[in-house]
Parts: sequence; structure tokens; C-alpha cells
Amino acid sequence: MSAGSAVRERSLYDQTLDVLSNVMFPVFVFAIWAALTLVGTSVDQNIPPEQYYQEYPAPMANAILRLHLTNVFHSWPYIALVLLLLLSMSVCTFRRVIPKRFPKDRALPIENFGLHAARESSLDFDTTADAVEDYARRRGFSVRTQTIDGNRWVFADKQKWARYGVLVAHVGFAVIAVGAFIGWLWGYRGELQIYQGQTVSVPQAGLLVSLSRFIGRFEPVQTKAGTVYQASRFQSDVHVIGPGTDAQPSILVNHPFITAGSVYLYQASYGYGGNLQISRNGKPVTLPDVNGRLSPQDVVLLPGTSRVIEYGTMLGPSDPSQAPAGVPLPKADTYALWLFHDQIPTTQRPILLPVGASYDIGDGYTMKALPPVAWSGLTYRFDPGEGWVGAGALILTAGFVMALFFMPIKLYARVRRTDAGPVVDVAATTTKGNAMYEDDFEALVNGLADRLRAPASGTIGETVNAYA
Amino acid sequence: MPSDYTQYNTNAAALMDAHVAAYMSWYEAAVVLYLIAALVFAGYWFFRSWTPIAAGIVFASLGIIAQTISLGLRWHYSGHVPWNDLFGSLSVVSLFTAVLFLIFGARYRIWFAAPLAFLFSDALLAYAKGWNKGLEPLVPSLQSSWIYIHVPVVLASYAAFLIGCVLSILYLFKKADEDRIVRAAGQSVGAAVSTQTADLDIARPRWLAWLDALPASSKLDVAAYRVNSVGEILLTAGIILGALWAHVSWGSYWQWDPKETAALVNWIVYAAYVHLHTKPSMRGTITAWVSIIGFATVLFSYFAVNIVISGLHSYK
Repeated sequence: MSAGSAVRERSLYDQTLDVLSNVMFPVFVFAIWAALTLVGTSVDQNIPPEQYYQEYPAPMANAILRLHLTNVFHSWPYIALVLLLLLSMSVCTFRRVIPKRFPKDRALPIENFGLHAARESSLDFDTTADAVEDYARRRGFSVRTQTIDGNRWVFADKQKWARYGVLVAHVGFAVIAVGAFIGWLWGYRGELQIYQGQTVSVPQAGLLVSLSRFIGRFEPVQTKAGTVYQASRFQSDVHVIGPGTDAQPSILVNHPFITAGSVYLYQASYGYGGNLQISRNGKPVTLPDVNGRLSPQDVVLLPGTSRVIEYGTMLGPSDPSQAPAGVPLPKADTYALWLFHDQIPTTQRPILLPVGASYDIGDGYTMKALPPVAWSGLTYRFDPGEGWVGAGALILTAGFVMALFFMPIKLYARVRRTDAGPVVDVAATTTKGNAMYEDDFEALVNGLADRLRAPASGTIGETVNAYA
Repeated sequence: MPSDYTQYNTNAAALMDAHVAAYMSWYEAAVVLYLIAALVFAGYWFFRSWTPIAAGIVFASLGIIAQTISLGLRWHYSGHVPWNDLFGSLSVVSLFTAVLFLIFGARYRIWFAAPLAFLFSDALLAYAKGWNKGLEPLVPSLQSSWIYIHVPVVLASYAAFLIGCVLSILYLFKKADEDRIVRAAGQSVGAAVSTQTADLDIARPRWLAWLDALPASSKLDVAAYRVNSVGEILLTAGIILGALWAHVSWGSYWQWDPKETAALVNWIVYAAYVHLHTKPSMRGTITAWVSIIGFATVLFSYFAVNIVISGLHSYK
């Protein structure tokens, strides 16, 4: 190292911060993040491995499984990318965003600005300076003046607060991240399946939930194949008892119930349990699940025989959405069942058994169809971080509006004396590049030129169509 | 939802057909009017006068009125918002594109982009026709006030991105032409354009003469940034509103549903765009391509996710 030269080596720490705070770094991470997210969107996630071979060609399925693309969004690389982005955002905020927000009022070489112009004034020096100040104020700028080296300087700002936009947006992200972390750490959720008349518990919250009644409403829809029925309303009338809660709300889709402990109960799904009364030689036989708990493909073994009942589905007014298009809806709820004897179906088509009707199974057994029992699927959830996430979302949106929609402008105007009279040199700078303000700057300068020709007491009612 | 469409009403099919025909007639009128608007606006490229712009605005406005009537009739007959399916939502995107373009056109003076913008919008509208399935009741998960806010905000963002993409495409054409002028004249673009020598046109294909109607590429970049910024703000708000709705409806802000993750891809790409635009060396060609790629991801999230990939937002 030669005498007089000073080479300052930056430490690894500073170099790392330089990389993290360089705007190209998050852009690079964005590109990878977008690509991974696209993969996770296009490839089915979290399904059994064998199902990939059914849905995709074998080589593609092999690649998906070997590259572990079955659970992209909860994989370590994906989470690491998001954390890296948050880290870069934090470093950038403290190294670039906060320090460089407000340009100072200083006498700068106007000619060095990308947007600059000079206009002669026909007014005297002081009147010219006052006119420039007044002109900037009338156009919505906040103005400060200084005399430096005999020149009058006018420093003007517009929408200065918009310079906080990036900072506000970054803070919003951070708040959302905090809320999501709190929810992940201390929150919980689960699913409940409650049959009408049944009571279930939510152990984490100490709640008991009883289903008094489930109502499903369906509307007819005309299609080319005929009428189908589409669900239009699901309602669960429940009784919820727990710490600080004793209520009998109606829970509908989009209308969850919130307990005193901030546990949400949502309407998620529904169904109807098949209900059969099995008798043998005239005497009722107790079998598990047949009384209102039958689900599609449930199998009931009849004791002492090699006969089996396989429950198919229920068609009818209680749940007309199950009826295929063009198939007339039965007037009464009807069960579709298969009977097997020695593993051979006893009929060529499923047995349609209307509610109230009986059927001789054989070997002394009969089955009678009873009205189906509705069940409601409720989701419960507790998220202590939701307030943080909500606040962060608002802050983020505000930051975006400030940063992207509004443009902070700083004007420098220098009034100097020349032999021909006062001359005003004007320059403007924005955070979004000169091209963004070019047209408005031209209009501003032209308006100022008119002002410097006009009498000082006059006003020019020119409205500037500035950026925002 | 009217009970007239039940299977017990022998007149149900005819009634449904009559209602559908009523809103489709206004719909088809809008398709024609937007096409005429696009062709009329294109007159500005060749004649450089305000007459084609004024006429184009008239036709575009008539198209907006026709489409609004179509959506209004659909709303009236179905008893719920018309953007509950792919047909309705595509129609709304097209409507918002027309409306937003008229606003941006007046605000940012981008009328030169009208032919392409209305052509793209009309293509969406014409394509949507194939997805018209008549009138259906609103499924329980969509029965919420959030449908009045979340869906239109997101669709408005798609409309803004469509216009931004058009501006970016025009930027690339104009930039290539400016570079051609510089190479041909061996001087700066400003000096070359100001000389307007006939020799400079020799190397340009005749069908690209309309490029003279466009402002400088730097102005196109500015216009694209402004429009895409509005889109990114709307998309951010739309995703947040969707998360709030999901919280109320499904019990979770974010379920990694394909539609949600596809919207996240859109958001990431445009976030990269606005970050890149802070660097002068990245403004221009690079940001134009990012804008075009961004809109490609919007098309993916709209069509591929809604039609091909199953999920909570699927129309499959």
C-alpha cells in the first residue's frame, strides 16, 4: 500500500449487509420464491404418493416425489426463502430506507439535476424571490427559504410524508409476520362432526357443543341434462357451553360463532347419516352405527350369517344435491343399498329403500328405513395473532398506497442576480426517477415563467396536474 | 333465487332461456361495441387527430353501458351478484378494463394504447361467452358481504395489469424502433427524431409506421409503472380482503389453496417489478418484460387455476 492512499477494507459483516440491503437481492429472492410457489400451485400438494402416479405420467410422478415437491409450502427451502426476504427487508429498512428519507436543504449545483431549468425574471430581486415562494406555496408545496452566498434559495417539498411509504410497507410486513408467528405458536384448530342430538367437546378450549338441529336448503338449477339441486344455505343450531360462554347460536357459512375466549366455530360441512332398524325374526337387533350413523360405503355385517349390507347413499328432499342431473328426485328420502350374500350381490342394481319401507334380507333378517340423521361439520379455531395480522395488513396497504401511488417531490429554486436581472434556477427531484415528473416539471416551470412576467400582486389560476 | 326454475315448473326451461337471452343480447352488443372502439381508436395511430379518440371514447362508453345492463339483468334474474362464476368474473374484468382505461387515458394521456387494450378486453369478453351456464343460485360459501368487495377489487387489479401489459408491449416496440433510429442515424434518439429524415424510415417496415404515434419509450415506461402500481395496490388489498373473508368463511386466513398461491405469484412478480423500477439501470426493457411476465402469471392464475386445477376457488 503506497503512502497517502488509504484502502479501507470492508468486513465480512459489512459486505453481508451490503448484499442484503442491495435492492437486487430481494428481487433475486422474489424470482425464486415465485418459481417455487408456481410449482406448488401447479403440482397437487399433500396427497398420497401413489396418487401422483394416477394423476401424472410416471416420469413426472417420479420427479415430483424425488424432488419432494409434494409439500412445497411447508418445506425448509420455502420457509427459508421467506425468512431471508424478511431479513433483507429489515436490513434494507435500517440501512437505506430510514437514513435516506429526506434530502436536506442545501445549496446544490442546480445544473447537476436531471430535471432543471432557468428562467429570467422581469421583476426585481426581492419580488422575484417572493414570487417564487408564493408560487410554490400555491401549488401545494411546503416552503422554506434561505440566503446563501447572496442568493435566495427556496426549498419546497410536496407529499413529503409519502417518503415514509416504503418504511410503512416494510413495517406492515413485519407486523404480519409477528402475528402469523404468534398464531402458529399459541393457536390451535380442529374439526368436529356432530350428529343431531349429539354433544361433543373441544378439549383445548373446554367447550361442549351440542347440535340441536341442522338445516340444509337447496335450490333447483336448470342444466342441459335436467334439474340439479345446489346448496344455498347450511345452518347449525347449536348450544355452546364453556368458560364465559353459554349460548345457543345459529352457525352458518360466513357467519361463525365466537366464544368469550375468542374461539371461532365455523360451518364447514354437512351430511346425513343413514338410519336403519334391523330386526331378526321380529326382534330388534342392536348393531353399531346403523342408527343414524351410516356413511357411504359403510358395511354392516349381520351376525350369524354371511350377509352384508353396504350403505350407498341417501337420495331425497333432505339432501337433493346427491341426485344426478336428470334423475327425478324421490318424493321421500330413499336409501340406496347393496346386499351381499357370500360376497355376491343379491341384486343387479342397488336396492332403493324409501323411509318407512321394510325389506326382507333373508335368514330371518329384515331392515326398515328410518329418517336420516343430519350431522354438521364444524371447524373450531383459536388464533391469538389475528389482531396483529389484521393490523399489519392495514399498515401494509397504507404503505403501498403511500409508496406507489403518491410521489414526493423536492424543489430547489435559486434566485440569483445577473446583469440582465434576476434569474431563477429551478430543479426537482423525486424518489421515482426524473421521467416520472418530467411533464409536470415542464408545466411547473412554464407556470413560474408566467408568474415572473406578471405583476407581483396578480395570481395565475393555473392548476398543475401534478402526479397526485 | 326465484322458485320458477324448479323441476315442477314445466315452463322452467323456457323461462331460464328467456332470462339468459335477455342479458346475453346486451352482452353481445358490448362485444361488438368494444371491437368497434378498438378499431376506431386505431385510427389515431394513422391519422394523429383527436377525432378517432373522441369517437373511440363514445363507442367504449356505449360498450360499458351495454355491459353494465347485461350484468345488471343477470344480477336481477339470479338474485345475487353476477360475478359468482368464471363467465361473470371475466365479464367484470373486461368491464373494469374499459372503465379503468378511460380513467387512465384521461389521467395519464395513454389513448395511443386504446386499440390494444380494448382488443385484449374484447377477446376476454368473447371467450367468456363459452362459460355461460345460465343462472345458478349462490353457493353458501359465497353468501357474504365480502363478495361485494374482495372479488371486484381483485378483478380491478387484473384489469390494471392488462393495461400495464399493453403499455409494456408498446414500450418494447417503441424502444426497438428508437434503437433502430439510433443505429441508422448514428446519433441520439432525440436528434435523430428531430431531423425526421426520410432515410430513417427505409429500414422500418411500413406496417410499423404507427409507432410514430407513440410517445418516447421513457414515457411509456412511466405510464406502465403508474398503471401497474395501481394494480399492485389493488391486488394487495384484494389478497388481504380475501384472507379476511377466508378467516370468516373457512376458519383460516391462508390455506395454501391454488388460487391463493397463484395470486401470491402475481403479487411477487409485481413486487419484483416495483423494486426493479427503483434502479434506473433496470427501468425500461427489463421492467417491461417483468410486466409482461406478470400478466402471464395473472392469466395463469385466472384460467389454469380456475379451470384446470381443483381447489376452493375452482370452477371445475
